Amino acid sequence: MRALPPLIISRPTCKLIWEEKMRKKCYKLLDHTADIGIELFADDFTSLLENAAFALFDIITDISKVRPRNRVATIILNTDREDMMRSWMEELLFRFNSADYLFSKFKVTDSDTGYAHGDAWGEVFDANRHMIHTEIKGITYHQFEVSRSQHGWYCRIIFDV
Amino acid sequence: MTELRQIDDYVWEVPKRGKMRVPGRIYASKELMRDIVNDPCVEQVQNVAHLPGIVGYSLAMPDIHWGYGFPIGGVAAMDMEGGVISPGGVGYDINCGVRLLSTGLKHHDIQNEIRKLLAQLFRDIPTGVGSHGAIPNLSHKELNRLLRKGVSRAVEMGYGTAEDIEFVEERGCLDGADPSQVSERAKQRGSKQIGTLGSGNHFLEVDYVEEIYHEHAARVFGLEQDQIVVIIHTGSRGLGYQVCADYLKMTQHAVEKYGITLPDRQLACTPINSQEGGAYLAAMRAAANFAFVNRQVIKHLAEQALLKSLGVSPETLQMRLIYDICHNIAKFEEHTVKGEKITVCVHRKGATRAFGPHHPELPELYRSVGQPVLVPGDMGRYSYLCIGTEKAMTDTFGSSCHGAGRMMSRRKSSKLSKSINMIEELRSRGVEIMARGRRTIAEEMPHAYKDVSNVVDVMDGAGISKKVARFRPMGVIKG
Repeated sequence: MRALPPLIISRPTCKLIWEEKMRKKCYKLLDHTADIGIELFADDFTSLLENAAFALFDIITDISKVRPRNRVATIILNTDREDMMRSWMEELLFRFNSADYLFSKFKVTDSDTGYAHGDAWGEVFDANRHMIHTEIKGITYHQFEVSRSQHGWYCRIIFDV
Repeated sequence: MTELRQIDDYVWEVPKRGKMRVPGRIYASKELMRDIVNDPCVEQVQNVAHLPGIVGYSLAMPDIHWGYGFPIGGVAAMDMEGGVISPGGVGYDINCGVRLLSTGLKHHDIQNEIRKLLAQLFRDIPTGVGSHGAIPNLSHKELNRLLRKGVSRAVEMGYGTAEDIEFVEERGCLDGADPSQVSERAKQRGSKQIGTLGSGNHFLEVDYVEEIYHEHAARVFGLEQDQIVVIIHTGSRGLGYQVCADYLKMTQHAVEKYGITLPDRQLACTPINSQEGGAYLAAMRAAANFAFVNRQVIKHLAEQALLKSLGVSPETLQMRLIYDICHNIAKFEEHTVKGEKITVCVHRKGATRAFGPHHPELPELYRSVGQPVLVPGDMGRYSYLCIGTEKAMTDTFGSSCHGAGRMMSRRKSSKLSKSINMIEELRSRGVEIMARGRRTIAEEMPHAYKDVSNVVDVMDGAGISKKVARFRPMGVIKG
């Protein structure tokens, strides 16, 4: 039997695969009669925002097929943590619902000047490559929570499907 | 567990206690009640009863299930002076509703053509992500006109005929719509979605009349055994969702501003007569008009698809609008409360208007029998046409049920669907399906829903809405 060539994965790709695996562990799906929810955890608040965004698009599509081609930058006003989470997620959902944008990579950086930077990388939906699992339309207030404990940050969101 | 008191075979009372302003009333059979009591929706019926200005009862239809603030299947009427309006009492999908179309065809005419027909419908009616609306290059000005004028503007643009207008609830336009109260974001979301079906539980179905219960009403509506009908279920798409989201945010602040105490923040509301209340009503009406237009355009697309696919003339197809109803809406209506005729603001969230005979708002042709009430079931079983009654006017603010009601989460349904061949399962029930994604089918399988006949039987037994006909699906398209 002919030997297979060695599988070589570039370092950036390794990092992406590892990041994806880590992010997938950071949320779990919640049952809801008509819609879908998540709860997620992170060590710090900016990671919580990143994880939430990842979870959102992981539910919407096969996120591994979304190429992080284009960057979309968002300013998140530094109000209370619940408002910040809501603004960030609503902005990403707006891009998805109005312009068919899918995202797979996220970076949020805090700033000392009253707002945070949220960057998301992705591309426009391509029916030849992307499958939409669930079309999420909005973020409800139902059981919406962003909180902090000695173990880190926690968030729960129920999405409207 | 909330204590319930059975009033009769179909009515259960949630006694008034604590800060509830009125009792609750749930319409259900004993069998349906066994599931209902295990769902948090009963507590939601209680919570709604706390709202300022609520009159009569906090009502729930037999398809009740857990929603946001208000349960799905909830009806609440508010006094105009001291009452509140709540975006959660309308729902995210403003004017989600159902349209029933009749044709001149019979079951045997299309029995062997159903796959070809479905394929044409699936090609011609935009569904799901990535699809674009049927009105290309829709200008801002034109969108505003549609939001203001509803179906009549769509007819002027060539979608459907003037005869359609009379057979749409509110004649396809809620007065008082103000596009300036709809955010730019909402308009951006909606502008390329006119004439799109959406996903989730939205659908277009080709059915046949399987059984007729009320011969006279069926004749008035122009229905007979084996006749082919088309059912469209969709709403205001991204525009309505954004309007709800925008005004939920606003009402969170209004609750504080007006000192309203709520048991659940999702019941966020504002006085009807407040500036915020006026703004929401104006935007909601605009979104509702968008949904009427959406269903009007889809009707036009469906008609064209059937003509093309079947190769018949319009005179043979004879597609006619029977009726179009809303089941997520808030409206000012006149009702009798404690013997006095008053105007109230009726919230219907997953509930259908069901006006009785002789109501002046009904099309003249239908006044003798009452308003058509369209109740779609899940995609594998059946749907119903009923009529509103005088009892609905006295007992439920002229309201009835809206559908089957989910009884299983999407995750559970998807898990259960893994063990079956869904397409074959539906085919064994005589139903062909075309959908954008397998997960949509998995989440919408019949096992996820209550049997709609149980829901409709409760309303029939309670005298709220009487059965006219049952439709059996032959084919369905979904986003």
